[in-house]
Amino acid sequence: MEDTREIVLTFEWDGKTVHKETNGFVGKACTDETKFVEEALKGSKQKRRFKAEYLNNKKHAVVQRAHA
Amino acid sequence: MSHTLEFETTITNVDALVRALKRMDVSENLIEVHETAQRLRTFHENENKRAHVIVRRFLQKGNNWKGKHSDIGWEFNKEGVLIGHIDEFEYDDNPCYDHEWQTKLYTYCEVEAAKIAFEKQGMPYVEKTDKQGRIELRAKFAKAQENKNRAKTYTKVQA
Repeated sequence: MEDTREIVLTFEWDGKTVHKETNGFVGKACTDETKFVEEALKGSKQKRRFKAEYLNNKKHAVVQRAHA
Repeated sequence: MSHTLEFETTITNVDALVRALKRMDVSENLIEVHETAQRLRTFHENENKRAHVIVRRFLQKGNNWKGKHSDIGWEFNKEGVLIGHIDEFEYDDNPCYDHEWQTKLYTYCEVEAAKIAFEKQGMPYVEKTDKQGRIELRAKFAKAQENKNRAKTYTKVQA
């Protein structure tokens, strides 16, 4: 029987939003077997790419690094 | 007087960043990747900005003031996430490296990071643009399994 499992990723042009669609999986395998993609893109889930308030006002564009 | 701006990103994958820069038509000759952060050459001599990934642009386009450009770079912070360093002049006055450019770059970073993940799994993928102009990546599992089986057979033959 043909394996029809696939992952479809769609990337918004905002630099941070990725839509994930999985086809052909049964039950929990859907998340278990495609977890590696989320791991690779985990940055976008943890925090925003930019802080909007910094971009809205260039005077505040300089951010302090956590370790500075 | 302008100075170097810092931008938070969520990029952790240097390979994805380099591939994304190439997609943005940044010449491969200008891209440097360093294990130890190296100094960025900018107009601001009192600044000591360093970066692990650098696009060397300083004085690339001539010696007159209008032709001068500062390097841009990305430096790992302690959490292993890259921080972007871009000259304020390049960000505000030169349309090359403004917010729009960075947003596009970071979108490509996501695409390339996903491709690298698929490549590691041995999954073939197809990239295309959907009806709304977004990038779509479609990766098949079946071929990945075939590739794994082939690898096993090859190993047996080798043994």
